[in-house]
Amino acid sequence: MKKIAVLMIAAFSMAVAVPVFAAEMTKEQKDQCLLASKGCAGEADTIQKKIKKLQAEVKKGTKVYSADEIKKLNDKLKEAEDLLDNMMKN
Amino acid sequence: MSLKKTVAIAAAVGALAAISVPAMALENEFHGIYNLKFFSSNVENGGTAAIDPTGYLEKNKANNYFEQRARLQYTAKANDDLKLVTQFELDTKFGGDKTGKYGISSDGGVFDADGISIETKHVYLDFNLGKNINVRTGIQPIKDSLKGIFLDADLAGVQATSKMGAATLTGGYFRYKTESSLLTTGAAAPAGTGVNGTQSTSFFTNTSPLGHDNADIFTLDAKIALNKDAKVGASYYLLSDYSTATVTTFHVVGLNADAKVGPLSLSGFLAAETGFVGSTPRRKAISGYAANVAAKVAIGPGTLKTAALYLTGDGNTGNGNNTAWNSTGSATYAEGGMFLLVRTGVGGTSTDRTLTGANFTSNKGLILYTLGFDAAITPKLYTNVNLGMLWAAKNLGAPTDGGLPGSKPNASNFRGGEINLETGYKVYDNLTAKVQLAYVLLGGYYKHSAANLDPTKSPEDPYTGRVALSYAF
Repeated sequence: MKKIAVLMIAAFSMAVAVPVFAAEMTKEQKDQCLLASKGCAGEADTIQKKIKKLQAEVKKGTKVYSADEIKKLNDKLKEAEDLLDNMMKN
Repeated sequence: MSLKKTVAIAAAVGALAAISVPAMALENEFHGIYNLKFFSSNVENGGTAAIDPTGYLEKNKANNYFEQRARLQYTAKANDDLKLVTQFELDTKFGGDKTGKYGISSDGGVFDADGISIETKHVYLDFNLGKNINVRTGIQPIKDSLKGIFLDADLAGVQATSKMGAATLTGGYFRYKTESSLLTTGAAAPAGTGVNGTQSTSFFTNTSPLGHDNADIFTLDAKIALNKDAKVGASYYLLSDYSTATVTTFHVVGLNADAKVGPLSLSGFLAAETGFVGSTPRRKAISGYAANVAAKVAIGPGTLKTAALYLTGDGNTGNGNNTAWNSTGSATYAEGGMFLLVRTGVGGTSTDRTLTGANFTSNKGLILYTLGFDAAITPKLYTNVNLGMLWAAKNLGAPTDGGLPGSKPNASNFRGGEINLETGYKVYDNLTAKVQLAYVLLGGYYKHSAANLDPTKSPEDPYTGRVALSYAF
């Protein structure tokens, strides 16, 4: 039993450590990345999406994050908003 | 298999998995904007010079043109404490532009797009020292704590910010002219010498070492958060320009505050300026002042906002004093939302023409009152309406009234009132289509001062209509 538990932990540690890549398409599946530019590997966030994501995380509050982490998220939110403002300015 | 062996295998597999993941990944972040604008205006022409109504007739042909601007930003982030930020700008006027922005080349708007368009916007290293100190070195955006009326520009220098509890202290040093940039083109040289047949005078020689005839800016800003809703700040700015024979030094001391009281947001500042401006035959002592107060409140689907700005002028240019507000040469004031009265710095393309110009330094001084409403009609549709009234703080040098005997200057200080409207629709989350309209009703300051000096004619009221597309990613 112990052996099985240890082997399972080993397998799990391997699984979580390997980065997740977009699933390979099977012969029957459509490639949404090529077809509709959706779900591509290495897809980056737009500045608006980044701001929205940060706002959503800040909203989760102290139930999820520590006070320090919320401060850090708020700093990153301000940085992203400043970046958008600065790109729009003369 | 014994338990020991199994543990050893598990540890080996775990170790292998651990080393197969990079310890530190470089985060490559790309962002940018694209703005396209079509203009139809009697005063906007793609340039940046201040609008002088006395240069216009009673009726003028309108300019019509297209401009686009793209900005590409790349950030190389090693970790949360270290990154390089770069941003480049590509401006184009459809048809091309050889008005000097890129030397003798046009921008890329000409036939076959063979022109120069790329400019540097920002290049700086941003890093943290410990938990509380942030340092930026390089070409970076700098804006004063006076809503931009002294300095709002991209400058090369070093800035450090330190946070200590509720207090934030920022200090900066920026150099914007030095011997190697002080190259001037002198009188025509004998044939075969110099560049393009003219003689270049260089300060950049063995007898003129670098770093002595600079133009430098120092900044010091302190901000204290009194509580969640109130902040006060104090600032000191020094501009020291030794790049010409007429040396200039500005010292600016300012106080600023902003607070939220329920749905109401209040902000304002007071600033005093001393120092001297280079002038012949002798330098002039400066004593300029600036004041601002603004309020906005959320009402229904939008925000009602009002603000007033005052910058002193100089009523007597013959004496040894200069009582006008003197800026660094690149100033903005965005909160009134004006299109043609005052530079907001948010135009989005190269066109940047207003009655008061990019440099708020003027013997006229400035008094501006604005009132506006920004309405979010639906999540995709918005409309902003603004009214503004502009006066000269000092009437000295008012345009001559051609209708008055003896060609006297106009006695009115009222330069004009602007009404503008912007309405936009979000085609996608990051693409907005918008229309901007503005009309300035010129005041008594410009009465009977049309360019042809007809004593019965006043210059045409400035107007603009713009259709724009704005993409940010």
